Amino acid sequence: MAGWSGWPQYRGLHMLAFSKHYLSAAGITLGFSLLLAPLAGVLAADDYLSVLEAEAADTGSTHSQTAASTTNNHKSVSGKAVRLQKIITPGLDFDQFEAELHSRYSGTHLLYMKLSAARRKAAWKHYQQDNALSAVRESIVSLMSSS
Amino acid sequence: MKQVITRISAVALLSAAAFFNTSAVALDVNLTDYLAYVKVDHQGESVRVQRVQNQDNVLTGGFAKTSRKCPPFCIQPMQVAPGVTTVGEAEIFRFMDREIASGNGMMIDARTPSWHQKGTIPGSVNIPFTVFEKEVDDPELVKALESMGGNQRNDVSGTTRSIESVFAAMDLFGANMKTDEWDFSDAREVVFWCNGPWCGQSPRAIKALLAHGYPAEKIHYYRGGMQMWKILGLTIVVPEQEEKSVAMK
Repeated sequence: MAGWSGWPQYRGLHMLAFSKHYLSAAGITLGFSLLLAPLAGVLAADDYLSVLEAEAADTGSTHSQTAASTTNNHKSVSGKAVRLQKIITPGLDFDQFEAELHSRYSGTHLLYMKLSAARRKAAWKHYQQDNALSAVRESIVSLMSSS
Repeated sequence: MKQVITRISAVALLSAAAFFNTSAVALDVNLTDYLAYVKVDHQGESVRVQRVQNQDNVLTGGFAKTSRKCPPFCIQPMQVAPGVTTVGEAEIFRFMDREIASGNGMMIDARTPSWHQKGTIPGSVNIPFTVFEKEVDDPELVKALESMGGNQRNDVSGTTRSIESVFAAMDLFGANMKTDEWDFSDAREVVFWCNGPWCGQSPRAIKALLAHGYPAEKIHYYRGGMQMWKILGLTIVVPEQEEKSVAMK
C-alpha cells in the first residue's frame, strides 16, 4: 500500500507505462463502478423488499394466532384479533345491547324498535351468536318479515 | 321519615354496588400492576387493549419462529439513533392513553402493507418505511410528514436560513426544528414500530425521517414491535377489507 504512489520512481519506464495502463484500466473500472453504484443500490432495495414480501407471505395471518379480542366490551377474550368492521361490542347484556344500538347504530335501532319485545330478545340472542352489525341487521330484518 | 331516607340510601347503595359490579370487571391478566386495559382510538373505533386472559395460551404461527435469515432479518440495537428514545410496552400504553387520545402523538406501523394487513397494533397508522426514504418533494412523503405535524416551507431565503442556522447552533427559537423544506416546530411525538427486534423496517424509517430533519427528541422506537406485542397476548386489530367480524365464541 505504501509503495503505490512510488512505483514509477523505482521501476523504470516500462513499469511507468504499465502503471499508466493499469491506472487507466482502474479508472475505467472505477467509472463503471460509480455508474453502477446507484443501480446496485436500487437492486439491493428491491431485494430487501422482495425478501420482506416473501417472509410476510410465509409468516401467515397474525389474527389466526393469539391476540386478545376486545373492543369496548366488558368481558370477552376470545384469543382472536379484533377486525375493524362494524361490530357490536361483544358480551353485552340485553339492556346494554339496546343502548349500544341506540347510541351507535341509530338506523338499525329504528328497525329494531319496530320489533315486539319477544323478537327484540330473539335479536339479542342472535347477536350473541354473531356480533357483526351486518348479521344483527339481517336478523332484525328477518324477524320483521317473519310472521 | 328517617326510615324512608335510610331505605332510599340502602337502595342507592345497592344500585351503586350493582353498577360497579357490572362495569368494572376484574381481569386475571392485567397490562401492568396498575392498569388492566387501555382504550385507544383506531380509525374512529374505540379499541380496548388488553391481554389474552387464557393463561394456557401459547404463541403459534409465524411469530413463533426463532430464526430468520440475517441479513436482512438481523437483530437491531437497542438505540436506533442518537436522541431517539427506545420504549417498551408500558410506555406505549401511556402513550396511547395520553398522546394519542389528545392528538399530540401518533403510532406508526412502518411495515409494508402486506405485513400491516395481517394485523396491527391498535391506534397505529400504516406508513411504510419506503415512504420515508423517498425524495423530499415526493407527494407521498409530503403527505406523511404533514400528517405528522410538519409544515412545508416555500421559498425560504438564504438570509433567513443563515439566521436560523445561527439560532439553531445556540438552540434558540426552535430554529433547530427547521430545514430548508420543512418546519417541524409543531411536529407530533411519534412512535415507530415494525415486527420486532429482528425487523429493520422501523429503524430504516427513523433514519430516513431524521435525514429529513425531523427532531430526534420527538421520535420513539418501539423495538419489541409486533413480536413482543404478540408474545404478551395484547390486542391486535386486523384492518378492514378482510373477512368477517370478531367472533365471540
